Amino acid sequence: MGDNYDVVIIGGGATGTGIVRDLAMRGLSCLLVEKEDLATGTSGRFHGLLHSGARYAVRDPHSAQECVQENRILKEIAANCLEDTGGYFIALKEDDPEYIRVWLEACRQVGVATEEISPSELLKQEPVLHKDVTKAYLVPDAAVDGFTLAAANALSAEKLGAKVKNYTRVVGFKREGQRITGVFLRNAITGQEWEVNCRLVINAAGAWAGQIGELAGVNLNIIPDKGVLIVFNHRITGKVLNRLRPPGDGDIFVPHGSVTIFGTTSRATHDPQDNQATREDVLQLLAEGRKMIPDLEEMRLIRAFAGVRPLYQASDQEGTGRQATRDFSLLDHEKLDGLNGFISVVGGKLTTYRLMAQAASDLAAQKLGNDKPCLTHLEPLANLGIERDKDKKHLCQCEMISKGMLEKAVKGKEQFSLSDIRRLTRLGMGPCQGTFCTYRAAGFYHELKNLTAQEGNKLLKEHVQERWKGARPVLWGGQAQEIEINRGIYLSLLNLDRLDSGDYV
Amino acid sequence: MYDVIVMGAGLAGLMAAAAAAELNKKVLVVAKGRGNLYSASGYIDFLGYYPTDCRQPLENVVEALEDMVNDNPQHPYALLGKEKVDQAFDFFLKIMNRAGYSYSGSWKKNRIYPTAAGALAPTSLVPQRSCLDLASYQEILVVGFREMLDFYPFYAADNLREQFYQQGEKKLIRAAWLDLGLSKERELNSYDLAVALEDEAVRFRLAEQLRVKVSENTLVILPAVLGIRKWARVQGDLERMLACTFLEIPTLPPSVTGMRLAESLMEYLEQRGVEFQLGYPVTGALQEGKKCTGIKIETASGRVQVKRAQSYVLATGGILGGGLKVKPGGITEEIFQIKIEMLQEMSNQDFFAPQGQPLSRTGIRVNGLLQPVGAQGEPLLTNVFAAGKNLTGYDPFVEKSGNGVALVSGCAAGWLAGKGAL
Repeated sequence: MGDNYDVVIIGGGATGTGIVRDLAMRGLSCLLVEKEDLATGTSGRFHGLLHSGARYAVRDPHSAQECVQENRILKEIAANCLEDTGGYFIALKEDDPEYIRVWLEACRQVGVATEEISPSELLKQEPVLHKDVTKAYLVPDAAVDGFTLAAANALSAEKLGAKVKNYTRVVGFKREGQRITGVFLRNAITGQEWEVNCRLVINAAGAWAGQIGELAGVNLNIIPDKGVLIVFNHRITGKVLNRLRPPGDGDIFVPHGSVTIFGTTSRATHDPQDNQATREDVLQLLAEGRKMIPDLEEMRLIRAFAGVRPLYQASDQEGTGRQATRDFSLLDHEKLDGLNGFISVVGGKLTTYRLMAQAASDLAAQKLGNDKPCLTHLEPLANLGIERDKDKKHLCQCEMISKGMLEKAVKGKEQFSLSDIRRLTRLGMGPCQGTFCTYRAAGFYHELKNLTAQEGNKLLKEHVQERWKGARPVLWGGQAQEIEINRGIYLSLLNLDRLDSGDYV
Repeated sequence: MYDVIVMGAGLAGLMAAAAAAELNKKVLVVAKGRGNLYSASGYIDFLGYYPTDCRQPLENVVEALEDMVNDNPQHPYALLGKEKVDQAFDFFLKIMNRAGYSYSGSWKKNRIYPTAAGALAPTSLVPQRSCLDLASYQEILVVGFREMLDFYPFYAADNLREQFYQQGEKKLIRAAWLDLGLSKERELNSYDLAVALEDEAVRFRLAEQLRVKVSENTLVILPAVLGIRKWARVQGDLERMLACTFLEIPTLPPSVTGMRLAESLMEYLEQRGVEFQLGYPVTGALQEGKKCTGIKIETASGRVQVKRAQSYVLATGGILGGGLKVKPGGITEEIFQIKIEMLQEMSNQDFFAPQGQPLSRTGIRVNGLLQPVGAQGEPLLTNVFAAGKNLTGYDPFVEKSGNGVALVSGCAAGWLAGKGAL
């Protein structure tokens, strides 16, 4: 009954895809299942900052040290998924000068390279910054793309024979006494169900790890913590910008492709699916960000989104929100709960995903009697092969995406949405937020993939709706005008609302 | 000194200028740029769906208009009434005829035309060239151009086939790509292609590629690219060469059909003596009590010019055209500093919600004379008349009424401003 694997990994975020790559490199047969598309959870819903470690140096030196190491490794093995922008930490007049001294010392201790830059030199390079910068330091921060990072890890594993299944939900576990022996799966689109057998299951479901634990009958104290981020339609600064003060809300700007991501907030939530930002969140962020960039409110916002941090607490005594550790935990449920064949890896952050994957894979390999060492830090990730080509006819002009790139992005995909394509290519992520390219991409794929009219309409409507979700909390200024143009095109000009698309939402 | 100054050069502004000029008034049109017509379809949609959650286009528009007057007294059509609607549409048909770019149709009856996605959509007036009965063609060929990324013939054809099938009509609907070999360097838009097709050699290439695919019974549906100023020549030529019928579909911006309407209308207005000052924004107004006594225009040198008239038409395009500015704390009309009521919730979760979006419905409250009014209904300005997308009370995108409201309220504002200037 069903296929057999050594390991089934649950969760297609950075951690899960990191694990499947790690285990595949050790020669184990693996299946990764993800209920939506890769990196649709927290790995695709964060500021896109590859930490240098500087942010955590004072309060969480262990975590900071891990960041220092992983920052160096990822710049080597995942160069295609990141942009090595460098970063600044800037202190303003109102910030505590004593904290700067403590921070510098902590950075030195954990090994973060800092280099002082004079406020006048800084303002020459980044003229939008507030004139009252008192101190500024350069650190090796970078911008990282969580979507392509997860996809590249998954592809590396697939090249070694691993199976990666998106839109596949775990609906139950097969058990023999106190041992998990397999999983029951369901295709999230077709509803088709099947089962697979395995020797070990790794729960890497991030914010959803508690729900997976529940299915297996173990209790995990995951504290979902919501962080809101907003996106501006241009690169405000050339490098990552951090506020030099104890970590708080609204103190990180990350230049990403053609846009800037700014965040975050930290608020407890009950639902890992809670990824809607509100207007209040946005206004609060702007009020804070204005202190570093005075003209911030004049700049055009194009969307807001939220991600849920899967913070983990071993006991109820530890802190929540900003106080909770950014460290990760590896849970061996055989020892904790007497349940064999099931381990969870929880907490952590994207910068240290590889290290989390290594720890989980070490434990898995040991349990399965595999003595191969981890090699993930030595070999570069597989190339996704969707890089820019020579075609100068751009279907998405904001992000300069050609038909050829769209064709490569959909290769081997049976079921896909334009959002899946967007995550791989940045289609529709630029200033126009899909106003022009959504229609073009739907028309293009309709023909390429031999879709029915209804399927083409669904592709188009779903993506219009998805972009709308992000625009709603920022409906003012240029974005309010853009949305009116968008409605004019999709409703008046195309009459899309009257076209049949099945049940698209 | 002018009789009437019109702010805005979209359909509402141009119609206001035309109406005032028809009363022999001295008219100046000022606008920060070319109006929204350049990105609009060039079709005049009066009212496509009412109530807006119905799936089928309106059959009895006259009756629906009566319902709307009862249900929503703030709707521009309700404020102005059926008589003004009739007058405005008649006037439009008359002046477009004079302008040499005739339109056909009536607001009372919806005609059905395909959109660029292949949806069958209701509209009221179309350029005379495009006036045909879709139902009478059994054989349709949808054509796209390889160099242009804004039209997908196979997608449009599939949707058309599907809808005709639902209606029980069997038609032969095919699709084809043509390649005019125009540009390998970059994607072309409909404007680029329309310019290229004004060249006889390019036109000939198109005809050669189509010749094998069509017969005289074929309706060729293609994006609107058949010439800009020389459209009559381009279309006439092709119909002679191929002996089939062509139907152009309005495209994503830039819109060639919208451009033809805007340019023929502006040319006509210039002949009637209307002056234009385009390219500079109106930055503010001079006011004495409830009377506007002048408007300020910032020129390229940064100098502020003051222009004066007896009456003014405010047709600056609402949020869409930039006449209304939305800020996190409120919405303001920028020239006269009119505060607009801002709702707690400006949007619905569903982009496609049939009731529309509060954002799109937002605008200036006016009375039956199109004067901006305050909370108690009192006029804020007596010689300023607002029109088009600046007005509140309707969501053009779900009703399919955008150009209709612009036309009717633009005409009315022009008449009111012109008469006030007597």
